[in-house]
Amino acid sequence: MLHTIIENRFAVTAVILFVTGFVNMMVHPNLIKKVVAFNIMDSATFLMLASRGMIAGRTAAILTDGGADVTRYVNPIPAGLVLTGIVVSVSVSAFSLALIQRIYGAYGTVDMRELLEAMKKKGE
Amino acid sequence: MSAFDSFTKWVDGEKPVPLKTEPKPVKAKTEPKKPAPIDDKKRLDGFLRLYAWCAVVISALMLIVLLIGAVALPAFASPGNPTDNEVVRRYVGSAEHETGAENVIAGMILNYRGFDTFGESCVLFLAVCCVMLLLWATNDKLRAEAAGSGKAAPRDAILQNVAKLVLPCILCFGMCVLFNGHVSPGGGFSGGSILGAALILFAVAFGAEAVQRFFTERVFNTVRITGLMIYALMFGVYIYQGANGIDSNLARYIVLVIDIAVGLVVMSTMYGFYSFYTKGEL
Repeated sequence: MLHTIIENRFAVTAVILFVTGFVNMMVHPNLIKKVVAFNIMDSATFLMLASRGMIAGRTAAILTDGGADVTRYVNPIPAGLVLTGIVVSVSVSAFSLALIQRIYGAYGTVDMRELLEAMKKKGE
Repeated sequence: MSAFDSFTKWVDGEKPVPLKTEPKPVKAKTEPKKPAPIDDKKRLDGFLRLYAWCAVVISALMLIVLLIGAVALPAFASPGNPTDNEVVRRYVGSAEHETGAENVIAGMILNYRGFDTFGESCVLFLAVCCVMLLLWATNDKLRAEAAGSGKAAPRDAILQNVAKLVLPCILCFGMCVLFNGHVSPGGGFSGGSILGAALILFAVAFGAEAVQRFFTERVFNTVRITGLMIYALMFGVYIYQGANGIDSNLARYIVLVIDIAVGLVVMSTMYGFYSFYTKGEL
């Protein structure tokens, strides 16, 4: 059991990071910390993708000295997927932080609990 | 008329027939109104507690399922990894003479998967549009609020002198990464981020007014829109040509130009984020 876990250490780390981020995103009342947790989840996904793409003894798919020897390079697709993921993560973070800034301007708090109460008060 | 019938009518686009809900108002009238706020608070408390418990249980289940999956995967970095398939043979084997790019990843994301990267650029473009919509300080009061005390603070001498030394290096490095994206590690996204970081450092050290001398709102919009347009145009031409059997030198130039276009979009997006968050305008 321990041996398998050590063999798959990056995947296990990624799963733990992902669930940590998920729990925090679900239960933390602070909106900023929700965004932080979301970014932790993103990082876990990138770690998973990058570690899956790795093969011992091979290098990233940047052809050196003109040789296209297939057995020397790893799959370029996980790297491309991580790139896509980073871009989307940056965009979503920026958008949600802007929304939070507006919420703070309107209600003076970023706490979910206080927000719910403030919204109710405003509605009445 | 049953609920299902009125629902199907609603789906068909007819005006929904209101369901008969007579008993409800009567019930509401008989209830005393006074304890409602306390009741609400209690209900909210109960809901939040239930929510937290459910979240923890769901996360624990998720952890178990994902851990089982992670342990069942083939060992890290083993040669039998499922990513070592015919895709890598195809890409590594023929990327160089099909896309002209020695950096197979750049060749792949800008050529074989060019639509994907175009979508990414559009996501960045839309993100900065949303940030603009949300944070644009439309009047002087908002602008003063957004600027805060940062404007009045004296510029830091250490920061300015270090920036004078470091900025040319960052700019050169960013250009190098951007223009060599197709032959070495780097490319539009990383090079654009480095150039954006250089702009942000410039703005921090010498004030946003110094950046405004050459990077006004007009230039910002022009740069990011031109970047996307160049990408769309080049890739459209490339696809229209049939995308196959293009001379590898020509394909290399297409990859380079698309890379630079992506770099422009990323650079202006990074600086746009910084600028809108700090002072609510460009």
